[in-house]
Amino acid sequence: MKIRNILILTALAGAIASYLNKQKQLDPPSADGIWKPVNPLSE
Amino acid sequence: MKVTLSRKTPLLQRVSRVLTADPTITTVSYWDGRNDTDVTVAYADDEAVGPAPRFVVTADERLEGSGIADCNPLGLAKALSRVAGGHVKHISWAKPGSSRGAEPVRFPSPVGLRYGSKVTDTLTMAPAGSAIASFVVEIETEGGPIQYAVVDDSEFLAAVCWAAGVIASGPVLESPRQLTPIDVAETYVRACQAAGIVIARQEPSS
Repeated sequence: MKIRNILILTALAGAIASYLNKQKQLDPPSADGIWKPVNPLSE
Repeated sequence: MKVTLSRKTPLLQRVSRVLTADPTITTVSYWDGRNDTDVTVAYADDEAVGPAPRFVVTADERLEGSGIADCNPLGLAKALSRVAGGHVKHISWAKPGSSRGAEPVRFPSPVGLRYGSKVTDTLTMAPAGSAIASFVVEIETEGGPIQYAVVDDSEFLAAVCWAAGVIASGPVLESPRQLTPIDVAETYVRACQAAGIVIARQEPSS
């Protein structure tokens, strides 16, 4: 039972780490999107 | 227009250089007690300079008497909301000297991600980390939300935003009252662009 719990927790931790890593790749801190110079007066 | 600057600070010297390059400005001088002037450029706490009645342009938020206040990057951000036909949802402003906070805010490169503090519901300020300043203004319009941003040298941006208030004064000198850039939005934004400020809009993400 104890080994089973450890395995479940390990799998859960791995899944959480994988999710967080994927989120970090999708939303890296340096991301700023694409900015294009415009003239707001003529838009 | 004849312009008088209240005193010789580094920032007002930069403002003077921007004004000198504008074709609508005929003379730029520092107050010497005798200046003949149409517009006075002054800090809000300056003692009264220039002949009364005065029309004052200031970068400070408040102004006593007639003139245009809030001639700074925040004023430009608000003016952009008027040009876009909407209203400000939020402004994020990164500038040197601001305190670091816990609120993550993204700015265009090279400023990038900064951690700032909410000043009001519609304003977050963050440290710039260098001499480069930036603001991002989120505007709600009938056609949906849009974002404009500016990234530039902090001192240059401050000087242009202040000088633009003077250049935008021309049409309103004859009906003096308390104004801000949003009240003269089109001429204000045009003056900022003519002086070299580049305004960017975020492309919708695919």
